[in-house]
Amino acid sequence: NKMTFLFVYLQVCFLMSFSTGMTEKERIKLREEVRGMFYHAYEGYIKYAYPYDELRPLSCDGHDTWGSYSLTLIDALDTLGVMENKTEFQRVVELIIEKANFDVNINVSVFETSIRILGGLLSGHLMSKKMGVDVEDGWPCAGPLLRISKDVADKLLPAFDTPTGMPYGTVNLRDGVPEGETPITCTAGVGTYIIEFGTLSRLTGDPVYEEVAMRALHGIWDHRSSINLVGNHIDVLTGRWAAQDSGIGAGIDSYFEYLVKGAALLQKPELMAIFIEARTAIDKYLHHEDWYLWATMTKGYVTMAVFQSLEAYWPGVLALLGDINSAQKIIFNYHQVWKQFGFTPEFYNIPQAEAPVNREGYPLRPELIESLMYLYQATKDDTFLEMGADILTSIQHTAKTECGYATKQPSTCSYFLTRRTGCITWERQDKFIKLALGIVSLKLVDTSIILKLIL
Amino acid sequence: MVHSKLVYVGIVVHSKLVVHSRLAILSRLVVHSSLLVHSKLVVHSKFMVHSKLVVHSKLVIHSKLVNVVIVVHSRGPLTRKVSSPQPFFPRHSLVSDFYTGDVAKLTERLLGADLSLVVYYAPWDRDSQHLRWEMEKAARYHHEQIYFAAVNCWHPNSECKTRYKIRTYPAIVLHVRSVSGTETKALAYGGPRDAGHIIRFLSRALHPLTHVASHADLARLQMEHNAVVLGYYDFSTVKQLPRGFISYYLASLRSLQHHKTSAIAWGVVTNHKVATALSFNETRSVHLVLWNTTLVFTNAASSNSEGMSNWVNKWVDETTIWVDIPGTKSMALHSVLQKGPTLILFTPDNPYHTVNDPFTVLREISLDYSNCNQSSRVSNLARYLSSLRAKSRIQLRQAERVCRSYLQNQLHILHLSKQQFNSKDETCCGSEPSSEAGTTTGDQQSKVCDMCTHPTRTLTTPEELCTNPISWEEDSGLLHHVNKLMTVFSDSCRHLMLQYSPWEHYSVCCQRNNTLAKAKSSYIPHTPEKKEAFDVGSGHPDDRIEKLVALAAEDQCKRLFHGSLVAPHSFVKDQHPAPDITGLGCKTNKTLTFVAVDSLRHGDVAEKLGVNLTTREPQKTAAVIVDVAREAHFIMDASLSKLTLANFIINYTHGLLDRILVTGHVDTNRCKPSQICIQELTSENYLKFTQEMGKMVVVLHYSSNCAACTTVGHVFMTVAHMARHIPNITFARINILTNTLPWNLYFQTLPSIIVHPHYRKSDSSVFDSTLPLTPANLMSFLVSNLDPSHRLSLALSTCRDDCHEQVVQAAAVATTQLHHLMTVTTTKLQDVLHRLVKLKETPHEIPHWENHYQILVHTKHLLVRDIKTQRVKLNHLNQVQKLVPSNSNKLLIESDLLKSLQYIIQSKSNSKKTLESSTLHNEL
Repeated sequence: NKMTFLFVYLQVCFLMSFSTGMTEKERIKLREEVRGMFYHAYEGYIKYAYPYDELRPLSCDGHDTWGSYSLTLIDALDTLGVMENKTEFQRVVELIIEKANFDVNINVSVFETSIRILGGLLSGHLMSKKMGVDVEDGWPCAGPLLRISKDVADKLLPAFDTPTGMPYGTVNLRDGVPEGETPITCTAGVGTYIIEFGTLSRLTGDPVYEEVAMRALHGIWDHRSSINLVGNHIDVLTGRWAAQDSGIGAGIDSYFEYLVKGAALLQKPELMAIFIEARTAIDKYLHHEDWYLWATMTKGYVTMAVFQSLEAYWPGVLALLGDINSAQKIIFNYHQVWKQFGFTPEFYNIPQAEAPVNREGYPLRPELIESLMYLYQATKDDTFLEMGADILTSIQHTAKTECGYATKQPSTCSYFLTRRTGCITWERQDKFIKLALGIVSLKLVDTSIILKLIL
Repeated sequence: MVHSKLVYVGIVVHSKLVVHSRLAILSRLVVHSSLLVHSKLVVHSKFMVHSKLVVHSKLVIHSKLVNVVIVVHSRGPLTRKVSSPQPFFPRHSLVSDFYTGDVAKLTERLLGADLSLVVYYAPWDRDSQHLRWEMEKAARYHHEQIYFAAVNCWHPNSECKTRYKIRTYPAIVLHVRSVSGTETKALAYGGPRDAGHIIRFLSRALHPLTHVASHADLARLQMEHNAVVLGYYDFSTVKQLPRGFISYYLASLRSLQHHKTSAIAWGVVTNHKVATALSFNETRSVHLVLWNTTLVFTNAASSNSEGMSNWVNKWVDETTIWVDIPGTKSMALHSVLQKGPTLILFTPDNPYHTVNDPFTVLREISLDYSNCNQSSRVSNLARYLSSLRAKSRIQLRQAERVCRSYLQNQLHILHLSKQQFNSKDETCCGSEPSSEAGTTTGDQQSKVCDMCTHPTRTLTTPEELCTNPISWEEDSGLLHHVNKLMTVFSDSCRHLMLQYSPWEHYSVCCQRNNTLAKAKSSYIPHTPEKKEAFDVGSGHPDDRIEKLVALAAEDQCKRLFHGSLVAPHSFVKDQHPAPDITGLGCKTNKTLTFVAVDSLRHGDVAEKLGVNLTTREPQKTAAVIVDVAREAHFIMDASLSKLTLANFIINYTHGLLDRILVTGHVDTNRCKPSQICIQELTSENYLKFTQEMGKMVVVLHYSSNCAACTTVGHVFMTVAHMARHIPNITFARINILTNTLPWNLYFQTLPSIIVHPHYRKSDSSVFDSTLPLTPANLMSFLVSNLDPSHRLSLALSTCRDDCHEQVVQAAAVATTQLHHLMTVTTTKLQDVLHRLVKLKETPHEIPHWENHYQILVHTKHLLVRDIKTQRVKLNHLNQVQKLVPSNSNKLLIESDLLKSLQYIIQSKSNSKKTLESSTLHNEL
């Protein structure tokens, strides 16, 4: 039951390919390139889009996407920290403290608000001392950013008030769960809180956040099928599954991710135990030749043989777990997809090696590069650095616009704007760059890891 | 002349020397190519790009621009125009760039050359971007024989994109024009994407077949290759190409795909006498000559090229092979290692060199090792290899002498281009040194900047076009090698070299070469004059032959020069005869497999095994035995020679080697005494550090890639801080990812914490991994492993004022209790004594008298012991009360306190009883 980390002798040495190595010069060049990418996008946002949520990289203007709270600014805060830009970090912290107002009558996604706003505020809070901000007495258990975080989290809490403990997907920041809100939430939307909420509880001493997050996590697991698979969407009032397709990608992804990261960050062996049980079932029913397919949660019959770009987080999770062997095998498949398209399409038909029409966009998702970072940290094998550089090169080549980076629609080779595809986000790209930087600057940068480092 | 080997006998040109002619074998052996127009080639290729290219010369589709979707939005456009395709290669490149993806045009050009190398690229792809410079280099080397092209196979709606599905960019494909000239056969190249390896592949594709004119030729092929395929085709009787020969030729090309290093040679026997001597019964038969046997392909006459190469691949048996580790997903090394213990020889595989001394040593050893039935054929082969090695050394020296002027010339060019460079401004548009310039000399100076003149303002023309593709580190390496090479030159030349730094401000975008015009029009039809050469049977050389000789000589020099830029020749020093290991492989159940790995490209594999390649002799060469099943590996310490390698194998077979424990970098940061710090251990100092007597060591076994380990650091630190006053206790940690420890210290789960106690080192214990790792749990685990004296000192050292008071109070209470107890016990004792006296007085006849007496005596002893114990305790408590500073004498320094405590404890533990201190601890 203990958090286990498997180490197999010599496995790291022999399984996979080895690159010819990368010189220090190349590393530095890549790092500076990433830095340049970040500032290109960040300055574009500040210049054209602030105080809106996001920048539209083609028309070079701003608009609100998830709520009117300058989302990108908060989300970029920890990246500024990673870039060690103290002056800008301090300026943004002051700006947030001064301007932040979450007492507004808007409906927001509980999930997105938690990972972006709460995650951004908390990591900013924890980094602020290192970034030269004058912290008040009692830091890290007190501070303005922490108070704002608590305020935001309190506004999210009503969503968790359900019979099953699993939260609604949407909440009104002023009035709680809106009238007539659907009780159907995706699995990831239920189980992706423990890192931010757990951190908040540990910092404030108020256990309620960690408790509701744990309750939601257990809620999903308690409703698993007899073969230990979980579905895609669930009714949070009754606990009935609304979508029974099981996989590791869209709709489910970060549930597994948070099990592992939460277990490691908060030292919760019980979460790891859940993950290990879940993974056994996944390997049994979904795992085929280092790909992960979709199957029915009740019987495990394969329904779709597709790879989604969201699934690319999986090898990273396996690397965190210590199963470097499997992680490497999987990421080579994913990287091949990248090499075929210049990005990982949202859907990739595995048997036909093609992206279905209309599912081939790429909203600059950070999953693949995050996995590469973990694998590089684990193995120090330059192969993964090279893969990261591949990604960097193609993004620079095709996605760069005058004021930021746009998503790709390579079928027509045109660039769509946020509203059209509904899921491109500047801050995704921001996180992307963050992680890319993590690879070349040998730093751990994912929010959770920063928390981990400081806690 | 070194070219004495070049014998002109009838139709034969010895292929040892690389002859500069397009498709040497075809143009020489295919005499009547015009008659072959109708012989169709059956093409089978596994490669996804295409297996047939049919000419539609009129079907040139202009697909330059793609649909542009513009959705107008109130605040701006939602989509952006797709930019039109941009040239990928410099304008005057030797590589024709079909950047619009125009396959029809490309096909047309492909049919104009015997051999063409085509890159199917995507402009966004990093590997494609790198490959373009390597292609340039390769083209400069081979453009006279091979047509080089590149096609953008990504641009949406381009012909290439719609026709072919490329799963990984870039795809490098060799197109071989069929004899009919109407189609090409595609062979994918899957080797390393650097110029050297591409050039090697192309050189071999130019000369896939070797003429075998005598038994000696076969012997030579056998020495240079692991296996030899021999085909007997009679060119004398018919006026056209012998049937089946084309299949044989294509099969030989096909084998280039499977055997990237020249493991298999393909020989052609044309002479009837030689064929009979080599036991060929009829023409069109194929033999596979292996190290220990010769196989006959019975279906040779009716097989196509695929059938032949499949047969060869099925039966080929090599005692040692190069393992190629591609940059993609591959189980190449894994599958070898899974078979059993493996000897891996890390050695440079310089693509420009034809001989590899360390690899030949490995072959010798592996032949002897596998020679189970003492076959003289095998032992002779091994012996010949020895002599071959000696000979190749002499040949190299000769070659260096012969190539002296060529090399001097090259260096002169380098020098000139440097001077030219200095005269220009130091922008991106500086000229490129012509280090790779090949044969041309005078026209090198006319360099033009072209890529730099392209507008770089648009986003689709990134600056990377003008950056240096070669890193500085590599350059200094090159320079080093060139310097080394310089030792064979005159002094005047050398000093030029020393001041020259060709790679300074190196800029590729501006490369320019006047040979361009030639390259673009390099298609020359099958040369008719060669036909005449075949017809001359007398053996008189003519000037064409001399020209070939000269070209071959130049090629040798080119190789020497380029090869020395990559890595120097490494030669093995053999002084002593090696012990006999003939047939050893069959006498043990730990039979080794022998493989070689290129240490130039895969040095990191060696590094992960704990081999430092830089200190090795010969350069970058090391032997390692890896036994995955036993989870152990062994490194040969001595520098490589036949003797040391044989001894290494013998020692392994007899189990005399020690498992290598890989060790990480030694942490140089020593802890300051005032700090709490966790010492970083390595496998080297682990045992020495933890087994030191009188020192307790707590070690955290972690790994840098384990998520659960990242969050225990603060727990460990906290406990280290709490325990800082315990004397002789150290906290340390070890990263087991970079440090291998003996089996008894190997943990299945991480993080693990182990305590090596002060004295009884065999009593080390491990923190229970089922418990949550909290400071409290870890602390109590530690305390339970302390011996009593240290436990007490720990207890007291953590005491502060209020704690002291409590101690004094507790001690007072305990004293009172003890006094009371003693009174009680004394009373009891008196009682017992009294009854004993009474009992003695009474007659012994009372039933159970004996029993009564015994019980009483026993009780008396017990009580006496109790009283003694209580007295000792009292004494102890007294001392404790004295020690603990009361409010009045706070000045007592902690360390003094500890000292006196230790003194007490020592004297106590000497006086046998340790019980008291633990009692004290409980009371505290």
